[in-house]
Amino acid sequence: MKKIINKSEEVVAEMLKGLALSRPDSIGLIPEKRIVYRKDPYLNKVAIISGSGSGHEPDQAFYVGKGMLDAACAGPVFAAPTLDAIVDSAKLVDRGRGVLFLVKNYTGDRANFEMASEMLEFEGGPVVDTVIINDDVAVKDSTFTAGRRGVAGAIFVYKIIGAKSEEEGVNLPQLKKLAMEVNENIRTMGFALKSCTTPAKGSPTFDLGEDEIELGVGLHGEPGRQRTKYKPANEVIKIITDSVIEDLPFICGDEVALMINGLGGTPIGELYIAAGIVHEILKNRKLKVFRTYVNNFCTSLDMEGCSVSLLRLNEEFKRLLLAPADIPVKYF
Amino acid sequence: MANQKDTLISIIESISKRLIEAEKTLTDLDSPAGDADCGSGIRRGFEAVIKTIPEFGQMELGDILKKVGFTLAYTIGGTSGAMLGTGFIETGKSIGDKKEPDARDWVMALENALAVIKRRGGNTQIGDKTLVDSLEPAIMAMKNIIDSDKVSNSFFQSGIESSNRHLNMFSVIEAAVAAAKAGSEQTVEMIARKGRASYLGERSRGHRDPGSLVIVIMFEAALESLKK
Repeated sequence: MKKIINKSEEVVAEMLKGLALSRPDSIGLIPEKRIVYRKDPYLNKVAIISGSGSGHEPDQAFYVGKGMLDAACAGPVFAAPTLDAIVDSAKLVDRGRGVLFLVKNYTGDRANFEMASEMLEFEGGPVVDTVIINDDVAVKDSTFTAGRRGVAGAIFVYKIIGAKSEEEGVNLPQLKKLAMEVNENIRTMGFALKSCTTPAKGSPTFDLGEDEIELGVGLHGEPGRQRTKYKPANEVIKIITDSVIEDLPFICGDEVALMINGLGGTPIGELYIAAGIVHEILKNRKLKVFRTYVNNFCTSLDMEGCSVSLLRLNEEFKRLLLAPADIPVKYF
Repeated sequence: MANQKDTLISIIESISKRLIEAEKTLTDLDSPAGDADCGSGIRRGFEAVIKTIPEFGQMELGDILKKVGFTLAYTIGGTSGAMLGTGFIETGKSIGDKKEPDARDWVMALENALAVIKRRGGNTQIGDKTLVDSLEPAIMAMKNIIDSDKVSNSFFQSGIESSNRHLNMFSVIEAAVAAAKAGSEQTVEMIARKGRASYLGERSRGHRDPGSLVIVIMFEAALESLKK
């Protein structure tokens, strides 16, 4: 295994150190707790926090900033962030208007956020509420999940809620309601060409034959809907996109935001090939694309593959998607 | 006559001391198939618990248990901290405002806590090589005693101050210790299916699960405390 790492146990700490040094004016770091927080001063808003295992970068530490997340808790690679980090992050970013946890649906993440929420209540800490994100259509229950997984579509939730939370007078119940509404309008599905390799294990997380692909793969390599023979892009992207469209279902006349999300190991150019194919499919289905987002948004280390997400839009979602966000992963 | 709060506090003290003493044993068990941090984590957690004991006098039973649980989850961290913490927190939730829960209340509270631990761990079962392997048999044993009407349902025997005052809960915990020990013994030959040890497959066999031993020590310490 060759990676740009030193000791595998230090991977997350070193990554966060690099982030903090790259963005010294806007990003703060509590290294012992692996909490990344927004450094610019802000008052009088509901604080928005997310967290999950590391290995999905830029999700979430790189979405911390004005207009998106106020703090992110980074767990070990593919393992949930711990209670103490979540509790401390809530106390750190609370500005007296309460805290909203945005949590992707995985058992470990849910348990720790739930317990953190209870501990804060027990101690008379900031008022907290939680929204669970579960946009993945691939499987009904997964290896680490009861119910659908939360995957790349979560980024839409962070963006829209982060933007809304900057508006004056918005309160915690309103943000919770909005987050649930956004979640209900997102559908995602992905596939893998090649497994990821975690630093700790040093070898592929799962076995995938040279000529095989995993449809509906999970962000930690969990099994998907089907293992099948490799197909050219036109075919596999159509299978994935049709599954996403038919699940909500998105219907003729709907306006959508489209995300083509690289899983980490796939060249950006290939993501744009996928984007082109999806655009044709959506045109045939008479779905109107408001904006297209093509990049690595929520990865699985070095997994090769991508996911397709559609968010059904209304005027408010559109406005909030377009609002600026001052986050590390902005190119210029 | 000793009240339940004093009894609970002294049980918590006893558990904390025994587990802190067991640090090296737990570390040695956690080294072959884990990352050798079980002992130090447990010690850290229960040292923090001891520091909070002075606050317990002002608190009700349910809140004392919750406080212990949150302290453990916060200080130990990781999944084991979360699972142990959950056990105390959920037991505390079930006990709630009760000032004098009876033996049945306690056993049901522990049973509810076990259910949450299993769910939170991703549907952990006996055989996965975790603390559930000693905790579940212990709780089943306690349930059997309570249900069999061999003991009366009251926590203390008719309020009489005597060396037998803890008799009922004593028999219940005694059964728990035996069952926990047997369950923990079973873990030696298991292949781990949860936690870090589960990445090692066959290599996790032949070593007792340290989490299961923590449970044994807890029940033993509780029993010792009730003897006094």
